[in-house]
Amino acid sequence: MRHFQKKTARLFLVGAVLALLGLVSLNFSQEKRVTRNARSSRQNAAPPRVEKIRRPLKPTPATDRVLVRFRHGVSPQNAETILQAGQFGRIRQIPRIGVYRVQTPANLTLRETLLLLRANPDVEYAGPDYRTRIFTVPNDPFFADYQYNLQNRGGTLDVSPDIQPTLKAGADIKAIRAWDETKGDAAVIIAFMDTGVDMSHIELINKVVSTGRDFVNGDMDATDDNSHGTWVAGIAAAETNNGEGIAGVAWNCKVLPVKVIDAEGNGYYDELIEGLIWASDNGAKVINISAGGDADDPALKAACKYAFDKKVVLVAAAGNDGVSVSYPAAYDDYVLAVAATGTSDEHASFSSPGPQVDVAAPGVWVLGPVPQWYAGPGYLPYIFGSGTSAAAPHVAGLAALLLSVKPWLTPKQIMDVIRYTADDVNKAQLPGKDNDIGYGRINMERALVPYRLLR
Amino acid sequence: MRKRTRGVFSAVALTLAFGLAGLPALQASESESAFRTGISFDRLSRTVTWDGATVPSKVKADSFTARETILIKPGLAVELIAGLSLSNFNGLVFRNLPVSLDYEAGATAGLLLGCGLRARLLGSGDFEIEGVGRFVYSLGFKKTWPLQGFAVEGDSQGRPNWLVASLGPRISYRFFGSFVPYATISASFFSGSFAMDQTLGDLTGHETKKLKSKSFLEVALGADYRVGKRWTLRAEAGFLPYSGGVDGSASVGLLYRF
Repeated sequence: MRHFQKKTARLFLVGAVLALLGLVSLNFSQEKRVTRNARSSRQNAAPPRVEKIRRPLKPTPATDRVLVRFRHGVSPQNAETILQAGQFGRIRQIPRIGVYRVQTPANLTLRETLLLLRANPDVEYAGPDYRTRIFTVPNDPFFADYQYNLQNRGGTLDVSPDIQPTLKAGADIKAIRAWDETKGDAAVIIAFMDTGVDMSHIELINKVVSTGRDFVNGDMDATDDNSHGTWVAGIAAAETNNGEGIAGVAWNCKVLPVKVIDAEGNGYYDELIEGLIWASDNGAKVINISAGGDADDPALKAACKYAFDKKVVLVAAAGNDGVSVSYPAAYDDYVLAVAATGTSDEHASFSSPGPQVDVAAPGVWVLGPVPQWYAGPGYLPYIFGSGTSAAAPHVAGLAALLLSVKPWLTPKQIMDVIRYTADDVNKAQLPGKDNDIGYGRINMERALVPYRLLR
Repeated sequence: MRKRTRGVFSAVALTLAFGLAGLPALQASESESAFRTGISFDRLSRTVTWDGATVPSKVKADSFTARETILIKPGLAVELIAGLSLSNFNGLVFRNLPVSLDYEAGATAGLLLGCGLRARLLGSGDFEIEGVGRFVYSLGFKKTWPLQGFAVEGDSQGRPNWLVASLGPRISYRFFGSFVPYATISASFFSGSFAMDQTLGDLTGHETKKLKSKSFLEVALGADYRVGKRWTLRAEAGFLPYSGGVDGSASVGLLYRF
């Protein structure tokens, strides 16, 4: 972290380059670009969403112990005599605040015990001993200060001396409680259709399942020669709780690199098509596509259908032109199209809108890993970047976590769970599903933590 | 545990069978009427393990029932039971639905139906030994809970069912006349399920959780207290030990004999 301040100016430049890269990577075939303005209707909009506030979680008390405090003036000896006379076992005193923890008598329920104690005029307070639990917070050093996308505590994000965006507390994907439910299953593999992955990066070295496939150079080594793919893969599945760098969304899920974009950030549909089919045939359960083109192409659609039919969840960036959703994100039946939100849950201005947008995730100044050669000597191999390229891997990570705990769900069901559990963060302006952020910014907690059925 | 349960049931069934074989030779120790009608409040608490759960949890149920006892012949009576139950399955988690559910909705109502058999086996002095069997089934009413806070509307519908079957000897002490204390040792089988359906937008799911009881043997202590010629008060408390704890049951009732 010592070099972090020094490098922020450079990070800004790199981030800007990455944002541009996202744009470039979308320009696969500009000559085939079709206008879809006529399709930008709201005919598929869901009924207005009704947000109701859920009741707070019910605290869980221990049934075999209670906490007691005696009134001022009751000596510790008297207090213990009273407790012993009541046959309360295993008395433990917390002396500084005059509280006793006592065992519930064998013949009494918790409620009866509390009633008995409260009936004693010397007792000031008798209450349940509520259970506590730890929240899973990773020990990755950049997590607390820089990964607002996973846990946003407000303040400002120190991207560089010139870039200090304001953070809105709670404008995150609610990862902490979700990680209590699952950290992912190593059997769930996320394939990344991108520029490859730096397989020697400390965040990914133990995460890649193989050297993948390079459809650009025609070999079996999908090493990243650009940095974009490493950044995207790290956001979804960086090694987490390893005391290094950042936390990923899906801690334990694995990475399958598939190189379909060249070192300059360009590629062709045929490479993407081949990559989708190869990944589907080689164990991927989720495919992240932080790339795309402007043309609707039946072969690309067929490749998406192929993957979908093989029970693979497809997640794609909506695009960064701010005009219309790119392909394959626009294939509504098979692909989750992901828009980008900012540090305060606002719709990112570059994020392409359209009726095909399903959900959104943070995509502005998201910290991710890059190859060391890209960061340069003396700098840590991480950068801040913006784009729907960063938003998509959050959703791919969530899909992988869902598949880790519910492997029987179909891709359509996984897509629906992610859609329906999203937070409609722009409901004040656009209630319900809209073209900017779809159903809303994803909410991992609502998608993964059991919903409490209350009276 | 299954083998042990089967063993307990077999022993009790054998005892009952031998006892019933000798039934005609026995004399009724008291004048019995052909019909007895009563009401009863029962509470049970059973430690159970659910499908897929590693930690045991409690199922609690209260029931309000009407009971009709019919004397088939001296020393042999059947009992018909009908009423309502309130069953609490709090803490049950459904993880096989598209959106997992943590049931914390408290008691749900149900229709309770059952039957019982009581047969006098032995009588000696002030002591009397009967064989007592009972089967009770609670059919839960379907209940709907809206799912709130999601992008689309949805709800979940749940229905819990459970049954208790018990069989064992009861020894009564008739020395005190109108006050008759008794003790029962019975094999007690408790089973149940909770079916949950979920609809959320295009998502639908169904999950049925089945439970296994941790306790299989019940020791109950109770007493009948005759008030006047026709009314009898009954109170009973049961204990069901299992490895790691004790479950309980309680019952109070009022009977009228015709």
